[in-house]
Amino acid sequence: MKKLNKNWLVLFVLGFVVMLLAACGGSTIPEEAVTEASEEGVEAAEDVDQEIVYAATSDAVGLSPIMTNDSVSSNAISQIYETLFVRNPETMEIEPKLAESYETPDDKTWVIHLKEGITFQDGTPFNAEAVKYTFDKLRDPATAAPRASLLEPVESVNVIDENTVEIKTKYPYGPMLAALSHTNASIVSPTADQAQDLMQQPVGTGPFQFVEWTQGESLVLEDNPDYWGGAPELDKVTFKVVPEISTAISMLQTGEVDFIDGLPSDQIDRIRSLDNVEVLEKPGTPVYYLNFNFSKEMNQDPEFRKAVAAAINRDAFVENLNGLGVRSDSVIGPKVFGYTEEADNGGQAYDPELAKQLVEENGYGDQTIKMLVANRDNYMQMAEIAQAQLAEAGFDVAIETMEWGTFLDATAAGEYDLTFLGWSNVTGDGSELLYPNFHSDNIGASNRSQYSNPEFDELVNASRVTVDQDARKQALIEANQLLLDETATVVMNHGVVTAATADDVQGLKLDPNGQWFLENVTRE
Amino acid sequence: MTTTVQPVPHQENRKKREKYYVTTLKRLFSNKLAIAGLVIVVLQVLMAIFAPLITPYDPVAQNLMKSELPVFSEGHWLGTDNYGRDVWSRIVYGARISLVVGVVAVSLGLIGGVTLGLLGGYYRKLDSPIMRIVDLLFSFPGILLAMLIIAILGTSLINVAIAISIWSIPTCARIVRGSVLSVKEKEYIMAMRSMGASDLRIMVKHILPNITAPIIVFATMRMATAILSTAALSFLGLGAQPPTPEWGAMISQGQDFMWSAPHLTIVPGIAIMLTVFAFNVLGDGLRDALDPNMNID
Repeated sequence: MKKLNKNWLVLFVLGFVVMLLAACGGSTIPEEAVTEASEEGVEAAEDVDQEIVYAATSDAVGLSPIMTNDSVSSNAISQIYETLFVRNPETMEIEPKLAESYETPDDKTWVIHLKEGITFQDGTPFNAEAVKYTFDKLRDPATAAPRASLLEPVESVNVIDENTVEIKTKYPYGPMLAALSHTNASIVSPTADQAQDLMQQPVGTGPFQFVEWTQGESLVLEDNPDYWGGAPELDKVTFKVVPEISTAISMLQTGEVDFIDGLPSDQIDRIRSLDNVEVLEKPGTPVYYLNFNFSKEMNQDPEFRKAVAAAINRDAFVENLNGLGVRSDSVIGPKVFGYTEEADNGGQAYDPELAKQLVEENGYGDQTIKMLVANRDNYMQMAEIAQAQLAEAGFDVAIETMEWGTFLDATAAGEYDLTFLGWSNVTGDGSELLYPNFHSDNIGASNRSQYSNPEFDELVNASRVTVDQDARKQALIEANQLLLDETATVVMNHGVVTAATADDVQGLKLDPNGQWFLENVTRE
Repeated sequence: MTTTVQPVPHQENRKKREKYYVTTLKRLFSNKLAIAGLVIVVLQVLMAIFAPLITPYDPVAQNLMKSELPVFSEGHWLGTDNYGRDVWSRIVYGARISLVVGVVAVSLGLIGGVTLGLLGGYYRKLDSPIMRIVDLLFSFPGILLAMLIIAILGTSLINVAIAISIWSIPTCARIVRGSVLSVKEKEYIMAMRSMGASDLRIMVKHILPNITAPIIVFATMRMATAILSTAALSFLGLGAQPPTPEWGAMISQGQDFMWSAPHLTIVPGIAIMLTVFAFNVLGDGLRDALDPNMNID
C-alpha cells in the first residue's frame, strides 16, 4: 500500500511538471522550428518547386459542379472547371470568362457569345453544345442537382451556332449573370460526363487538371499545359484533409502545408504572430444573424423582437472577433448587390435601457427562451455573448447546443425559439440571400425563420423578375429596409474572408465569397 | 417483538462499534496522503457551500473589454476567459456543480446497486437473473454507455448524473452481492432467521450495517470517477450547456485559446486533477483503514 501511495505522488508531481512544461513550451518550442523552416526556405529559394499544399478541415464531397454544393468541393472544382461569367473580386462587377459577350434582345432572352478555340482537358472542344449539355443536365429533375434552383427560371437552352447559346427564361430573371457565375454552373465536358463519373474523375476547361484523389486524405491536381489562358506557374496542387484547424495551423507553421483558409477568429492572433506566414483578410459576402422562429407566438410580437435587438450589443461582439467581422445592421452586406450604406444603422440600435423597460412592461422574462446553437464556427461565441446580454436585459435564455447535421434538421422543423444562422452567398447577389432565407415560398425549406410578409415577398419578387439592374437594386434596398423596420432578424456581423499562406506564396486571389483561384499563384 | 430480547448484546455491540470507529479513524489519520485528500475534499466542499461569499464576480457575467486577462491580473487572480468572465469565480461555482452532480450520481448509483446487490446476494433465486443483467450492463464501456443514455435523454447535467449513476450500478451491485454472500452465512444471521425475523429486517438492519465498509470505499472512489466523467461528457458537449461554469466545459472552450490564453485550460484542468486525486487517495486511505485485508476494485 505504501508503495502505491508513493506511486501516486510521483504520478501527481510528474503530471504537474508535464503540464507546466506544456504551458511554457507552447510558445517557445515551435518558434524555433519556425526559424529553421524559414531558413531552409531561403536556401531553397533559387530553385523552388512550383507546388502548393492546401489543407481543409473536411474532404470534398465530389468533383462534379453539377452534383455538389459545398465550399470544400467548390474550392477544388473552381480550379478544374470554369464558368461563363465571374464576379471580379475587386470591383464586384460581373465579367465574362468562358463567355466573350452577351446581349438581351428581350427581357426573357439571353444570347451569350462564347470564346473560341477553348478545349476541355480531355480534348473535347468547348462550344455551345457543351454549354447546352451542362445546363440541361443541371436543370433536369432526373439529375436531382442540389443547385438546380440556380437555373429554375430557365425555360430552354438553345444552340444558335458553334459559339453562340441562347437562354430563354420563363419570366424576366434578374440574377441570371450572378447565377451563371456560380461555381455550380461551371461547364463540364460532355464526352467525359458520358464516359465517366465526374464526381471521381473531373474534366473541365480550367487551369488545373485532375491527377488522383484518395478520399479522406488528399486530392492532387497538376497544371493544364494547354490552358487557353496560358499554363499556370504551379506544377502541382495538393488538397489535404486536416480535420483539426489548430493542427492545420501548426502544419502551416512548420511548412508542411502552404495554405489554409477560413481562419477562426479565436486563433487569428496566433496566426498573425507567425513569422513565415502571410494572412489575407478581406470583407466578404457572408452574413451571420440571429434568427427568430416566427411560428412561435412570442416572436410574432414586434415589441419582443425589438427588445431582443436592443439588448444585444453587436459592436462589442464584432470587436470580440479580432477584426474578422464587419459591423452593420443591414442584412444585405457591403459586398453584396443590393446594399446601401444607409442601412448600416437602419435597424434597432443597442439600447439596454429600452430593452430592460420593454422586458419589464411586457413580462418577457417570465418564460424560458430556447436558444438553439450549432457547435461550429463562431455560432457558440454569438450565442454566449447574446445570452449574457439578453439575461442582462431580463430575458431568461437557455442555450442548447447541437452538432451541425442535427441542428439543420431541428431548425428546419422549427424546434427552437431563437437561433443563429449564416449565409455565405456565393453569387454575391442580394436576391440570392433574401429569397431563400426570408421569402414565404421557402417556408419549410431554406426559410428557417418561417418569416412571411406579402409586402416583402413582392419586393423580393420584383428584384428577381426584372433585368434592369437599377430597379433590382432599388427593390432589394426596400426589402432589406423592411426586414430592419420589422426587426425580422438581428444581424450579428458580416463576414471577413480569410486565408493564410506561407510567405513565399504569391498571387493568391481571394474572392469576397471566400473562394479562391490558384491560376496566377507562384512560389518564390 | 424480537427487539425486547436483546438489550445486552446491543450495548456490547455499540461499544465494539465505537472502538471500531476509533481505530479506523486512527488508521486513516496515520495515512498522510489520505489526510491530504480529505483536506482537499473538505476545502472543496466549503468552497462550494460558500461560493457566493468568496467569489468577487458572477460566474456568468461577461466583460468583453477585459477578455483573456492572464493569471495574477488585478482583480482577477486566475485571469479571465474569452468573454471576460472571472476564472476564479467560475472554478468555485464549478466545484459546486461537480460535487452536486457527483453526489447525485453516486447516490442514485448506490440506491440501485445496493438494492440489486442485496436482493441478488440474499435470494438465491434472484441471484442469477440479477447478476446476468449486471453483466449485460458491464459489457458496455462506461463512457459509451453514458453517451448512449444521454443520446436518449438529451443533453443536460441532470441527465449526465443519471447516466453516470446507471453506469455505477453494476460495480456497486457486484461488491454488495459479494459482501452479502459472506455475511449471510454468519451465525447471527442464522439466529435472526430462526427467531422469525422478516427477510427485509434481516437485510436492512443486520446485513447492510455490516457491509458499509466496502460501500463507503466504493462511494468515495466513485465520486472521483463521477466528477471526471461529468467533466469528460461536458467536454464533449453532452453535459453542461453554456454558460454553465462546468470544469470540463471550461476546458473544451479554452482549448481554442491554448496559444493566447493557456490558463483557460490549465486552471480547470488542475481543478479536476486535484479533485479526482483527492477522492482517490481518500478512498484508498479509507479502504486501508476500514479493512486492510479487503480487496475491492
